[in-house]
Amino acid sequence: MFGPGAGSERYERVNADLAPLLGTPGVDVEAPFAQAGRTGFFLLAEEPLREDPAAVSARFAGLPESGAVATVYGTRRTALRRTATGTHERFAQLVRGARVVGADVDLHEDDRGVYGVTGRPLGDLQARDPGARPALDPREVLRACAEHFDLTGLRATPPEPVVFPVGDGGAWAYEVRFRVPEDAADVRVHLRADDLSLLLATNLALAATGRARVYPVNPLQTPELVPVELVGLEEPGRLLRGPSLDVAPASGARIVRADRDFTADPADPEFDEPQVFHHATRALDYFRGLTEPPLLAAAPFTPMRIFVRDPGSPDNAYYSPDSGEVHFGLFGDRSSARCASVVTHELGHAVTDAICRLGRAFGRNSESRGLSEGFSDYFAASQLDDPRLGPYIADDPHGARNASDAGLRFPRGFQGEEHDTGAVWAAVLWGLHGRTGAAVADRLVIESLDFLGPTSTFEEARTALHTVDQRLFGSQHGDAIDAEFDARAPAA
Amino acid sequence: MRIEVHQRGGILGLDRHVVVADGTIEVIDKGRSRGARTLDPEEAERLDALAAGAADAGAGGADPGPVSDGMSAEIAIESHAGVHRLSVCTGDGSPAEVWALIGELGRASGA
Repeated sequence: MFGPGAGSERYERVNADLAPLLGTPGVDVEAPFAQAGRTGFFLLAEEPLREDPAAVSARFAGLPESGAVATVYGTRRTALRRTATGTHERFAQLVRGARVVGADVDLHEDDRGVYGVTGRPLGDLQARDPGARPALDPREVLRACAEHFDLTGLRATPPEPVVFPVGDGGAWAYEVRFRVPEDAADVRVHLRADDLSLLLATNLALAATGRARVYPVNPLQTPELVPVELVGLEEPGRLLRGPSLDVAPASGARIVRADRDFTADPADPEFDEPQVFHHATRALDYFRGLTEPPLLAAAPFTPMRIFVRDPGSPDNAYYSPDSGEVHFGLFGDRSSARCASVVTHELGHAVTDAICRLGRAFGRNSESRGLSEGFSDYFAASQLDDPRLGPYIADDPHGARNASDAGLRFPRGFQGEEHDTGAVWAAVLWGLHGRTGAAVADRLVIESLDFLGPTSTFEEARTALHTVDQRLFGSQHGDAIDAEFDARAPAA
Repeated sequence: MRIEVHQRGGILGLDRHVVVADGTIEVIDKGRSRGARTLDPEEAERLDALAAGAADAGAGGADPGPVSDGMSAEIAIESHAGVHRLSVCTGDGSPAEVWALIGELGRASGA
């Protein structure tokens, strides 16, 4: 069940002729460039071409040099790297503003000009034009995508219209990216736009996968250990470290497993390391589904350093924005690293700090810090579909806090201990979640953060929700926002 | 020896007094007593030793910077030598002995 890459083959499918993607049909090689190899496409120029790289990239499409054609076909720079061998620019070929799958032109430049061209450009770009762009409902595309792989709850990127080279022509397709953590899969899919059939699916996951046995939620609510894959480990996968997470004990040696089997006895302190790696991976997957890709590809998530069993954090778990570290301590003998809601709560602080520095208020118990706590409680509740925060660490099935508590109400002037006021804000958001569903509520909540900062107030956070609702949903949920907030407003 | 610790904040938003005196431990959460219990002699001895170590070690005093879910603790340790007061918070560089005392009080109180 746990072999490296187990489950990954499920996401590899080819229902199209890939020859146009792997070759360079129609490309004419002109001076100063010449083929450098006996096969393939590797052009070099003895005398570099001193010309705008964007113009050079357009030359390989086989297009007449007319303005009207240029508005339909072209290239767009998608990457740039500077190394010891010069500057390397990648251009995607475009038809009607959409990327052509596989059709890239890579230009290599030194201070004299473009000296090399690689990639897989299409020299017959005009022939690949499938006509007017499709306009399918993205939800329909994602639904079809989920059905192809028999998945529920697909967390995917928005479908991107692309041109897929087919035979001598082209077809409109949708490109979708999604991850399936339990299968260690990072999947890129192309669906035909006209019938949503599957053209191509590729599992891009390269990271190593480990295994362990963990409590799915926490030892109180889900006391049976279950086997899981630990995805996203850096090769060779001996440590609980990857591009996004780096888990270690606060003191002592970290767990090392040459066979990637991190199974440990719950009575053994090292058990907490794979356990928190699992919870944190799931939390990051949740946040990836809500945020734009650059956010979690930058500090402090590159990787986020997590310390477990921190003796300097008794009865606590915390996030330090300056160091970007998360520390999990023991509550008596109960490790906070074993509690999924606590892990998501702390990673929630990292997310809100990365977006709007909400927790960097001036002084404790400010409204913005209450908001920071409330958002973290909400994210944990929404991810786990459970309003209870920390039932295991509090040794209370009801939870240390519970966003479904009917009696929660803001204190006068919104003044109070930040976790107490935060609990009320979480209840507002959880109430909204109940009225609109998780997808809409999560979208309203995450987008509202961009309107907030370290001096924000609860009223401003309400306005931020309204602003997002107006811009994304035509104010469909205004009454729900007000109803949930007003029900918990301070007594007059 | 009498030990009194007032913990505030942390992920649970604590406002907790823990009082160890005359061989008993009492926890008061947000002004409400959760009751007192008699400590085992071994527990009492361990707490006395940790308290003495914490008093000797002192507090950190470094600027912790912003901390989400940071916790602070006011500690008073009363012995025949007088009352020793410490004020610590998450990330201030306080010695391990101080946090060990707070952790052990958490275990002993069942909190």
